Amino acid sequence: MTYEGKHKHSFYLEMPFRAADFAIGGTYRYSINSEKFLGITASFFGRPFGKSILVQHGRRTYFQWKEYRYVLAAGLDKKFWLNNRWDAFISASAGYTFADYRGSGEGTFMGMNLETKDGITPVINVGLSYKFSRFVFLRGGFQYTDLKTVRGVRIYAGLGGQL
Amino acid sequence: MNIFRNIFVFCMIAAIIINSGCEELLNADDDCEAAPLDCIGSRPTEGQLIIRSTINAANSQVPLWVYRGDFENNDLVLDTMLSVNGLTLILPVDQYYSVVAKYIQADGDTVYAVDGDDIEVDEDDYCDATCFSLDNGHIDVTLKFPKR
Repeated sequence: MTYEGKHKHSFYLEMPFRAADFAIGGTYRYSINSEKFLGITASFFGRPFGKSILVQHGRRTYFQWKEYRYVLAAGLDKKFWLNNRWDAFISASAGYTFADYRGSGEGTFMGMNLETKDGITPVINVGLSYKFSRFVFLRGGFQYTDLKTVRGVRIYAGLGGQL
Repeated sequence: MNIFRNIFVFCMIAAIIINSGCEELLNADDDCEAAPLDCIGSRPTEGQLIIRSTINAANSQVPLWVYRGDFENNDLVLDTMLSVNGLTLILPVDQYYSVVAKYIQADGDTVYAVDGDDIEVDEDDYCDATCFSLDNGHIDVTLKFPKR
């Protein structure tokens, strides 16, 4: 039996970031096929500060919000071992993103609906992982998510443990 | 003899309980910290709401509204026109406030900048006093996306 087969559970702390924006969170991974290094994942991450964003709510009317943003996702993760320390990984998840605006309860104002921009998003991570020891590894790469108000690819960093 | 033995056992147990009680008291004294010299002993009823806003060529005067709670609830505290980059208000504590500032962009678009924060009172217990400190509210409704 492979190491992956004996140690099916892993958890990593993650920080996707880009200029003037970052999120922190975590992913739980359970190995479902240890021969193919395939696992299922569940993730949650969020922006821990109120980032200024601009959202159009009327024809010529915009709101500048202080936005907290969260993503809840589940999907698949596959590793391609390069040697006994390094592997390349790709994970693809379906997620739901939701937000909270400071100072607003998402009602209506002057006839405008001020709901937060929530919805379904893909969460795709690709990169390399380096295994420090039998249990600890570091992941780095890129992440794509559609956070509705701040789009674009992020740099992805994670620190994990496998049990 | 049984009476003496019972009294002896009672005294021993009582001594152990009293002794352990004293130790707890002594330990409690060790952990106890005296209140600082600048301790505020009475709970503040008012704090500051510090608001930062923008004045620029297109917005020499900025309409600004301060609300108790989320602004959609329309519980208005202040309706004013700002001609300087900010304002500090003295308001009751233990309350969440939201602020809306209205800006006009160079192309005529309207931007409402919204932010909210609490004015809170923190409480620290010391062995000789309870001290209170204000956690003022900080609001940033500066215009972050101006059009040129």
